[in-house]
Amino acid sequence: MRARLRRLPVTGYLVLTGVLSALFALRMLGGGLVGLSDQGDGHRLLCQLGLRQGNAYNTSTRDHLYPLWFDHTWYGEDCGAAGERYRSTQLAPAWVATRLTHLLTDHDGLDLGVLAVLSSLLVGALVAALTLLVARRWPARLLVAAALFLVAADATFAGYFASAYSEPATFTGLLALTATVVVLLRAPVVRFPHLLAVTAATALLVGAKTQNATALAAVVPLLLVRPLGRGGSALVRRLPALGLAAALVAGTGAYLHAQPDRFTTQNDYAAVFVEMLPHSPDPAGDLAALGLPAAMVTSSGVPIGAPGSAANSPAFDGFSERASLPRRLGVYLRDPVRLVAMADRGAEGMGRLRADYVYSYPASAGRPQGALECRVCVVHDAWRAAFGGRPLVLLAAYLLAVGACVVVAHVRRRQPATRALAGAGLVLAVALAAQFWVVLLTDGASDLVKHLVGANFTLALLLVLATAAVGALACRDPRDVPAPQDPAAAGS
Amino acid sequence: MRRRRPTRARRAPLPAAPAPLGVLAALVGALAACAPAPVGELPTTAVVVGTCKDKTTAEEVVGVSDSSPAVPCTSPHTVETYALGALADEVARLGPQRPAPEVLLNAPGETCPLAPLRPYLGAGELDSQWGLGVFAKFPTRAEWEDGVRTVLCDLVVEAPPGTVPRIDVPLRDVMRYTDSARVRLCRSGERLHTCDQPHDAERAGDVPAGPPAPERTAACEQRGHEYTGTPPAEPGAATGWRADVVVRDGQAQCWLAAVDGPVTGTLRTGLVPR
Repeated sequence: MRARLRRLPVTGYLVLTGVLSALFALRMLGGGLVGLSDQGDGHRLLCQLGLRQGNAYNTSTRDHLYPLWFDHTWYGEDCGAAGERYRSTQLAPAWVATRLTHLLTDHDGLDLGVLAVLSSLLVGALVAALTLLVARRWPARLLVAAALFLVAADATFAGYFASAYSEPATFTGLLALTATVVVLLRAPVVRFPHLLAVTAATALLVGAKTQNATALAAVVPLLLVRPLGRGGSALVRRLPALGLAAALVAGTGAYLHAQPDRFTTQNDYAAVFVEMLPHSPDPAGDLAALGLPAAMVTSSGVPIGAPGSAANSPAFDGFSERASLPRRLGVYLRDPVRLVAMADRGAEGMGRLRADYVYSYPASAGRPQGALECRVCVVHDAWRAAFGGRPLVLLAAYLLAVGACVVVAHVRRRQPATRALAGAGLVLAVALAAQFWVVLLTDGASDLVKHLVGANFTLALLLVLATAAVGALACRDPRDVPAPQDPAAAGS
Repeated sequence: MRRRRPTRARRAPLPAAPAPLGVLAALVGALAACAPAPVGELPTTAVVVGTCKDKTTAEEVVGVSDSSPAVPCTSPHTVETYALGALADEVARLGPQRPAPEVLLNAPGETCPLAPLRPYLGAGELDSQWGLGVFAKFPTRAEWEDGVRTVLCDLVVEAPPGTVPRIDVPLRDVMRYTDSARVRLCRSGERLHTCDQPHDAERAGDVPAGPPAPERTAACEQRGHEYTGTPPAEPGAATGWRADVVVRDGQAQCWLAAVDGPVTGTLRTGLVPR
């Protein structure tokens, strides 16, 4: 039976992958390529592959999607964030897409259409794997596959897969993490490959964007919760997991440290001048608490590049040391009620779901400037109807999903397949909460909707998992055999 | 009870370890990948006045620093260093890390002085330049930490929207050559532009704003003769241009208006071909 549990139906998996990938590719390319135009972050990422965008000289890259990127040699600090490298795991698929573009087309550079096809395969493979892990019978599988597909293919998220942004690695990382967590949690006996798979998926996710480092808040405890193998000291059996967790923490620390100082400066600036001061009852007091000049209060609400920005003054030098995240937290903790108002703004941002200042179509599509596609908008429309302008409803949905996962995990604690679904939901819930707060505390109101796209994707996955877990209560999963008793684990 | 189909027996377990290891390897590769520095990078301190570079994207032209390789100024290029500037002391002494780009770009005082610009262009008193942008380029982060504070003051010519602003002649002493129309000031109605486009009038310096209008016009006509190299003629004689004085912001600008409709090019005399 355990051998059966470890097996996945390969034929079914391949067919489902093929169907989902084809549907996703059709959604991206059918009727012409759609993606997302670049507000600047895309250039900073892809220039590191020796690419430049196909827009004409000194024209906006935000108004239209530019599907073709051209080979280009960047010198000195002309590429990246003020010359600092911008690291992301999304560079890996983007690099593969450049090789495929060279191989399959007569274009030297990158065709985002090729990246979209590659992404379709990745999404199809991951959604298919998660589907087979979540549901046992094909009717249920079709429902789960449809739900996951509607999330990934929704216009809110799909455009990123034909863009220069790093978000696709966030989405695929979340899908991979969810799948590996389910595998880990339902395994009768934890083996090292289970832990390694979760670690790899987490590395993919964390390496996509710095804000994804929050996944560690859920993954590190998860790795340590069940000891490896059977028999013997539970502490000793947790050492491999401890090693992987330590590697993840160290790797994440190194990754965060290696990110451009420029990003830190921009984020710290936004957290103070765009988030903290405009919403503060005492802006001068906040500046004093941070050790910043009182004259900077005139820059409240002014973005970093704009006239009147505090960053334009020599007094701005050393700003990040004085306005670091721990010091900002200190300011908020003096008046914690402000965090409630901040959470309300964040939940409202999540309710808006989709950034409306990056656009979907190439200029050749003949659409008006600033057009947004809505080829698959089921999740978007439902989300906006339920959560748009209703942060409390969104919070209630989150708490309901968490509650459902807790109840299912408890009720089915001896039935690993169902318990794993609920457990994976809880992992997502913790990661989501951590990411939500980190986004608010590091960027705040600046570019809020786009920065919360990972949190939105996580919430959508959580809702699907919670629903599937509740559904599993009603119809028993045949894979749910009572978990074997582990005396050592029980005693630990 | 459902019967298992025979095909299920062919199911094989998915590889457990190699996939994650492959993913990890790919991640490490993606995160650690560090492209080697392109050949030909030029440190800020190696740039001298008159150095030309060919930067073909707006991102490069507006970048904080500039390490692109030099190209001959007689080959296509977009950027030409006309002077070396200096930051105000209160910014120059910041460190050891380079200040934020906003601090550098908004440094008090004149980081890139305009005084050397006209001599660099070879402009005389009557010559007016137009269609040139000045971009300050600061030391790279590594150079700043090494104590370099040199600022490159770069010129970029104006170009139609969406067009790379490339030229293939040096801007040094450009006002002395017949192709200087590209950087001379002309106007069509109220619109100011360079003289290589059809225009109504060409700027020929200033005249004192204090005297009455007839004297200003006479002074402007005199400037026109100097500018065009045409000798003063009898009143009413055809010169092809008419002197117009425009008083604006306390300044009396001398314009040579084409009498036979829009013209293209420059009226300036004494220019030599390349």
